[in-house]
Amino acid sequence: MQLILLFAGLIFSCTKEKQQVNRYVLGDVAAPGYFPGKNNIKSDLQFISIAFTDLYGVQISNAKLSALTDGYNSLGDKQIIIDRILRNLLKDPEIQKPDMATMRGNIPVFVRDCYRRFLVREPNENELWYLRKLIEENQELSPEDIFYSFMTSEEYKYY
Amino acid sequence: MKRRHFLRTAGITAGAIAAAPWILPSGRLFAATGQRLVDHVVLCFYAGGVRNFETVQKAEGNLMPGLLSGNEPISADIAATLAALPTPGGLSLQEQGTLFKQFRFLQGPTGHYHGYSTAFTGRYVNNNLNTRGRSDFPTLFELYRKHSEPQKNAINAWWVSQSNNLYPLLNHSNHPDYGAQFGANHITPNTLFNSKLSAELDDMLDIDPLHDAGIDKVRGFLDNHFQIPGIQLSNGIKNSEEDFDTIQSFLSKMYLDRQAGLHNNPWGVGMNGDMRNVFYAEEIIKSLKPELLVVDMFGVDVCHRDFTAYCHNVYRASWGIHHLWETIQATPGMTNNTMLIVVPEIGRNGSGNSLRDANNRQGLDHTSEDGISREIFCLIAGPASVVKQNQTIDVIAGESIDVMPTIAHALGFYDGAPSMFMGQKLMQAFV
Repeated sequence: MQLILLFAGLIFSCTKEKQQVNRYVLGDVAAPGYFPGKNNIKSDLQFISIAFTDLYGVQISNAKLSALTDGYNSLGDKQIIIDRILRNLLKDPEIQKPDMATMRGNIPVFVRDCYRRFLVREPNENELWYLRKLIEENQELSPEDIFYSFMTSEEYKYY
Repeated sequence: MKRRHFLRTAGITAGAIAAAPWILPSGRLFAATGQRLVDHVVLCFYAGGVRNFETVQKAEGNLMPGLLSGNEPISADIAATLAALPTPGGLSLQEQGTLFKQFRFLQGPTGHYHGYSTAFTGRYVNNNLNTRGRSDFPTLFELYRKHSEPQKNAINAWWVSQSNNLYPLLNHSNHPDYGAQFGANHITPNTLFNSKLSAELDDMLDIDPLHDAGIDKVRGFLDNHFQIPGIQLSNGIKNSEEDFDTIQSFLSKMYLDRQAGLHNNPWGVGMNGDMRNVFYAEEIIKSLKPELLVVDMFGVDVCHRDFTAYCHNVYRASWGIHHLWETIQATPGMTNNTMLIVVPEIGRNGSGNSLRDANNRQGLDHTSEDGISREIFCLIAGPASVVKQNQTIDVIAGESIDVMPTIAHALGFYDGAPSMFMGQKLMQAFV
């Protein structure tokens, strides 16, 4: 009887246990761009009035808004008319902007201010680091150049 | 804006084409069979609603001396207040082409926008036409750009409109296979270059070309970090980077010319809005030599309340078109290489309304129930080797939806999408 039990024990002890194997593979993972929750394109009125406020810090007058909206609607390629409207605004000495020395004196503050002012959000660490590096490496870039880059970006068209 | 990027891309493309010359840019192995008859087409909408009585039937005399042959005197009451313009020199356009005297806008409401939509899409529309949205069917511009070989850039196609209300929507459709990527450049020059807007748009910040690369890097970085899945980042047509610069330069030149007083009265005859729109179309022609340009006039719609002013505007529009034709013929590359089509979008009623002008003439509306409002004309002028000269077709022939396939035939893209054309080519006009 003991032998029987012994054999039985050996048999069962040698039986390979069924093991659950978890296999992990790498699937395709999309690396999305930054999605700041903006999926509405600004209307012509919104774009112009927001751009004006962003640059001057005050609301655009009805007369000027009406004139610029007419211009916006008078050209099919919106990139071209936006470019023209913005470059006319950016040439105005009355817009609120730091001078070159102030910008270069504290680039992180300038970059953060651009994100807040034009894109209405905080930059993440990567954005802050990269743009600071870009501005440092491109000594010719002026505040107007950076403003122009932000205001002609895709994100600026959305809210 | 990104010229270096453009040149690099262009260089790669050119290299690829050189290495494989049998592969066309569109990806086709062989060119489409369509052969061009001309390299340029200008479509001029004699719009606002004109009646055949006052135009080709000359009921008030020849109000269109630049377009139509003949010296029939203008009715005395109309002529009395008409600011006469210099008699156009040379041949009339009728002598330089084919006139369809009994053209028809056969179906759909006889509204302005309905007429435009019909001609632009080559399809009649009904009362359900959405005047706040784009057509579901591709426009002339999209068919031209997509089915030409090689495909054409937007800078080759222009829509020069009198008004920036509704009409800008006609530069492309919502059709999923066409749309903005094949649309035309639209411009409303009478607004864009008026005094109010000139003050706002004529003094741009000069961006030093040495800063371009840095600006592109900043913008490129921002754009790479902003992607919305499922949403196309586009809100209309986009020109290539090189064409962007070309058009921006053209606009700057126009503003500079305006500042220099060159737009005050460029023809020296006292210009109305129609003539000014044609003038700006001429500037586009001279600077950009588009292959397909559509320009409209609208002054005749004053006829709702002032028949005499309507006749005056028929006269002035005609003068403007003759000037346009002379500019085309004086533009290198377009001389003897351009077909001009002149057609109203709709007609006007046979009987007058209750409003009377200073000459006690009744105003004229345009209502769908009045068959006369469907009677229009079509004049096709072009090189003698292409268009039959001095030919008048005085039977009912041709209709609004035929304009689009006729242009497609002339520019050689008809065979690219024959099923998209509901009308017929106006072959009677061709040699």
